[in-house]
Amino acid sequence: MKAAILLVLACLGACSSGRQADLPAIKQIRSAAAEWALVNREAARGRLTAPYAIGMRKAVREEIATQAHTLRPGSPAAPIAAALLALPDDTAPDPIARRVARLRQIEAALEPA
Amino acid sequence: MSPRDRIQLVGGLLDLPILDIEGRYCGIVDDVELEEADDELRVKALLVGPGAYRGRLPAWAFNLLCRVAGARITRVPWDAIERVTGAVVLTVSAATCGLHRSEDKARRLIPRGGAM
Amino acid sequence: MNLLEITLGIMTAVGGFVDISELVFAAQAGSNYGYALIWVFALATIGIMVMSEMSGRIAAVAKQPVFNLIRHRLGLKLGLVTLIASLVSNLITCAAEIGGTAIILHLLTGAPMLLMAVAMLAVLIATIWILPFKWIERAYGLLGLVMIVFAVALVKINPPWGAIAAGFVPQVPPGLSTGGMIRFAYFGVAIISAVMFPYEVYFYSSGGIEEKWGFKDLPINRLTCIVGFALGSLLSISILSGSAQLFAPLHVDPQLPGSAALQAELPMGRTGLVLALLGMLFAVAGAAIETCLANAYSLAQFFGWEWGRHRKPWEAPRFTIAWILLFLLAFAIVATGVDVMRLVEYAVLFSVLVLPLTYLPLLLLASDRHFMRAHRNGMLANGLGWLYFVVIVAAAVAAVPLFLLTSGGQG
Repeated sequence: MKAAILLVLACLGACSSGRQADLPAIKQIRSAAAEWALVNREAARGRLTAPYAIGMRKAVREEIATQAHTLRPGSPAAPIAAALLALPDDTAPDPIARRVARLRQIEAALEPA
Repeated sequence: MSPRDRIQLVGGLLDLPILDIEGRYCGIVDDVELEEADDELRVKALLVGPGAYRGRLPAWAFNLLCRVAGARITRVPWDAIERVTGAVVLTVSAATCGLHRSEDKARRLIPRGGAM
Repeated sequence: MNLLEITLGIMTAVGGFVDISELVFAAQAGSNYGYALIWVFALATIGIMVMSEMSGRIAAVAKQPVFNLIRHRLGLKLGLVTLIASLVSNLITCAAEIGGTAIILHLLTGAPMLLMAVAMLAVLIATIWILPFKWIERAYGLLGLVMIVFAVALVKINPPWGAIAAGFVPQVPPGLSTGGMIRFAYFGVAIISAVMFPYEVYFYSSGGIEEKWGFKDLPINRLTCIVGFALGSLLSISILSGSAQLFAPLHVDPQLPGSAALQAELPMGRTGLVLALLGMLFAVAGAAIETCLANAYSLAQFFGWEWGRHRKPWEAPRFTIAWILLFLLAFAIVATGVDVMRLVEYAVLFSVLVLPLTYLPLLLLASDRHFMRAHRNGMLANGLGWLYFVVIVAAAVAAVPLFLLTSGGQG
């Protein structure tokens, strides 16, 4: 029974294409970047405490860096992640939001039908 | 249930907690010692301690447990038992049966004070 | 019945309902699936009501805490397997809770996370050492009521109440791909696990023994479980709904424990943010205490040690050493730097695997005429109990494949 389950799981794993294997990481990068944009938007409006804004920015950047590391070479999301990490922590929300939109396009192209 | 009643050994006695006369937990019935008398099997004593797990665990598990916890067995004579309900209730204190040695050793590590 | 005691009991249950796992999964469920997983929260809440009521009734009538009866009913071998599995599951959960409090304190103060974890550890150990059981439970439960800010925030954003109500009807969102369905199923299993964590039943039943419950406490047991958990569940559903309304349109899938606080900040500004963080801190800290004590209770009850905070620490020395060592072990896991969100995922996975072994002895004993006499399960309790047993067995069987197929819910 155990062997049958493992065989099924192995087949399922082998069936996913290389590009689609990046999909979870791309979603995480997109979400973290969207959250970063939200934090910076609210911080610019003076609605966040300094420790919260600083702590959340650091956390989302770490998340983006961690997920970017797992992308395959040649992944279309890799340069976007690199561009995000090159932005200053307290950058305006719009540059981040543009890259979020681009990541969503890549996600949509990779999502299985 | 009183000690003179017929007891289901597996369902009614094994793995029950033991409470001493002061209402303190002082072990679990890990095994039982039987004797034959008048063509009946009677419980002679309760066995408490990791050493009593022999026969109830696979050999490797028993050996591992004894390395960690030791292999002591404490015998609680049947006549020290007042009743058997959801727990085995003794007529004596845990110290009288030798059931509180580990607890007393551990107590030396705990500072007293500061607790409401 | 003392009205003050009843009210405090219910409020403690409300404030103590949400822990780091529910916080994380409620927020993610809302951002990913809108209101479509509300019914799973409701289903799981009824399950924990049923099981907790039984465990409290057993504590009051048979004067037996859960792990005594697990060993007695399952025997030494299977009981030992259950003990080890629940120790591992609760330890990972405790580590996740301590890590969660460290992150929240870091977001509140700006101080380094590891330092905040050490500070939290000291506070938690001091809490259990100094306070008697009733005040340990009440302190964090009542302070956790600050989580009501999430419900207030939800009302302020004027969500589509009809859609939220419709979320209570069992459903699967239309148009999901196969991968999407599998991920939806994973979230369903994770929510069931997070709401019905075994540590809650160990802690609740042992608490009944700590407070020396008797027949007269049976009504308060039932009220606490039904009213308290229902209201507590509404807090989780508020977090889910707020996330659906606020995060989903912004394409945010909250992956960080601090993200949920933005749900209160967006409608209520800085005050909402701080209140949300404080509420989360107290709720998660309370859960850290519950998971640690649940483990110490399990060990002590399984091996017949003296236990409980109704005794002074030196009157139950092995129990005291156990909970201190367990806290230190949980802290050691946090100190390795492992991502708290990964800990949450593993906590939920391990817990659902332990659930059937925890609930089966409960069910058997709650129906036992010899132990429970006139207070054994009636038809409704038995029916619901066995129905939920089937649900949790199904969840346990599905958990590992779903976890692997979805990479822990990520894809």
